[in-house]
Amino acid sequence: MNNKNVLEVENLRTVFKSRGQEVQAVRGVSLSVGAGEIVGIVGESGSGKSVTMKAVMGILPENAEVSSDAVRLNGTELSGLSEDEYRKMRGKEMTMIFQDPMTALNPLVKIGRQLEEVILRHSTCTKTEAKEKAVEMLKKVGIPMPEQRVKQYPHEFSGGMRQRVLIAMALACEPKLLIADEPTTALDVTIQAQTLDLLKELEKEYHTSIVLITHDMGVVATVCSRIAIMYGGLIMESGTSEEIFYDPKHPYTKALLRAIPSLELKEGERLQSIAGLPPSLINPPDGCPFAERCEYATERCRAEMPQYQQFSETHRAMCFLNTQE
Amino acid sequence: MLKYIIKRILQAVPLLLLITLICFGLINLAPYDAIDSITTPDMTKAEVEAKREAYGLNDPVIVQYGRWVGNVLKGDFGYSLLSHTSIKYDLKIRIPATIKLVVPSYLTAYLLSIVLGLLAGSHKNKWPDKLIDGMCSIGIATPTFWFAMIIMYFLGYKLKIFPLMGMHTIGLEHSFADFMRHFAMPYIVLTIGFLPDLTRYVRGSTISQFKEDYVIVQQAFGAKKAEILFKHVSKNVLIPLITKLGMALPMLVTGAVITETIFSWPGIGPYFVSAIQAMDYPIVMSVLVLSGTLVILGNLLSDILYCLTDPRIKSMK
Repeated sequence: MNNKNVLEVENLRTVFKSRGQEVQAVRGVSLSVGAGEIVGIVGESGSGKSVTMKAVMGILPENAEVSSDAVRLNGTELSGLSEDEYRKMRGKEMTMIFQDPMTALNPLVKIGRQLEEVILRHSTCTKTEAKEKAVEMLKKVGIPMPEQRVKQYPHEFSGGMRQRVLIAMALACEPKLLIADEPTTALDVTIQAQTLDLLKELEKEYHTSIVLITHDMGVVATVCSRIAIMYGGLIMESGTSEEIFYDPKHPYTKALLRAIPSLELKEGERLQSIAGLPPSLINPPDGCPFAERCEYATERCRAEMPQYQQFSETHRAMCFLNTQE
Repeated sequence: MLKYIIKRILQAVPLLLLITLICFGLINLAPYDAIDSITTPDMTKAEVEAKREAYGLNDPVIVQYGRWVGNVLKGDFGYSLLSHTSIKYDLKIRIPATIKLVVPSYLTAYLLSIVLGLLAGSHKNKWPDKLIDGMCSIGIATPTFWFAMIIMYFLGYKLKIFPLMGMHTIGLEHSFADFMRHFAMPYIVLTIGFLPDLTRYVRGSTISQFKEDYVIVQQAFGAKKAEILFKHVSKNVLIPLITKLGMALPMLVTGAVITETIFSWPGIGPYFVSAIQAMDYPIVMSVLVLSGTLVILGNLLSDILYCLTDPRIKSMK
């Protein structure tokens, strides 16, 4: 991996311990994000995509145990940092926005105050400067009349506007890495498109690398340059958008692509879904986690974990299929 | 806002009438004859009948009720059947005594509970939480009268630090130091009595606030745990707590009945308890109506305080 990468994750694992049970949410994920790049992580609920990025941020609950060979942000190894050093990275070097903008802001604190607080925390400016910066950031994310809006409370904003406020908060300190965890899932379709456009614009302006977590293939297709497909706590396939959309190698990716709703669907024709349920992560199978639902699965798939097959410099998949024999 | 308050007050009127009706109804249904507390067994039937007539006890119940409500509305609570003193006058002396005891104790417990509750809630399942929550369990399970006796025995009887009963030493009615010496023990008992419940409440809402999304968002923006606690969580915990303050309004009258009775504090407590024992029903009804009214006013006060402090409700009008 080259040194220009903003984020490098090698073999990240996360285990949740509760009531004597261990849930292996992430089972060895390696990932890199280049400067100014938008990387999409796609997967269904429980595939470990949010947990992976929360582990990178260091904001998992206390019953989570994270281990990894390396988690580097701009070349700084994060796993050895003290709690306070780690905290200082958050918000300034890397930051995260979440799925539900309705509950992400403190309902009792004015929008302006919440922005100023983040700005003051990570820079040495005065209160007045922070106030100006807050207004400026709201203007940047396309909130009309920001001078009046800073004096309002979150409940006076719509969902889309609140997500904009959070994006403004996230970018106020110009982080190198922005993790967006399903930022458009809770929004209306038209607002989704606007929010994605906004993220793309901001990526150009700030050269912030973005990791976009989603379960919506349509969303990644519009904005991401590279895509990682996650399933059962593992990355099944990763590659550039072209490679994933036009030359998918993994049966799971193929199944996901078939499940995208399309306008070309004939009337009365049903969407194709993937039969079965994701594997339990309390006792994950020895072999490929997708084997139970895979139409090509063989005995070998169930018994043995496949290794990554490299198809190009950027494209690889974790599957026995396509093996040159 | 003003419109809302007026609307709420108007809504309270039928409720208050209902309270008087229930008080009056219950007392009238009680299995004793009010005449027994006025007469003595050696009175003749004619004398008893004359008394009955004089007190209006032969009138239909509805007439008696109307007369009583009319008087209460004029601020006339009637007279004690036993001592024949004006209840209004008695209350005027006794309510301030109760307030002097309840207000400092409740406020102390209130402030302490905020500190302890936030501390416990923000350290869920760690030792400060286990200690505070454990103490609360013991506190809730401890009967007030028993704890009062223990305090009395050790501080009052064994160590002789504080006087055992009353509010003043006779002849020292204007001495503040003397008042404080009498005040100390019931104050401690009441504070400890109020504390566990309030602390549990603060702890519970702190824990649930820490599960809110905005907390993890603040973490993602690099906030320190203390910042999250004091700048974000505490605000969301304190607003519901304000409503508790309104709900506590009836305590100004009936907040310390047991403690006052044990320490012979000259407040509403002993007055109420002895009135019940003596079947002095005008006093019982007066205290019931008064505390019922305060419950309704307290609810109203809570709602108004909520409106003033929570921006979400403020803007809804």
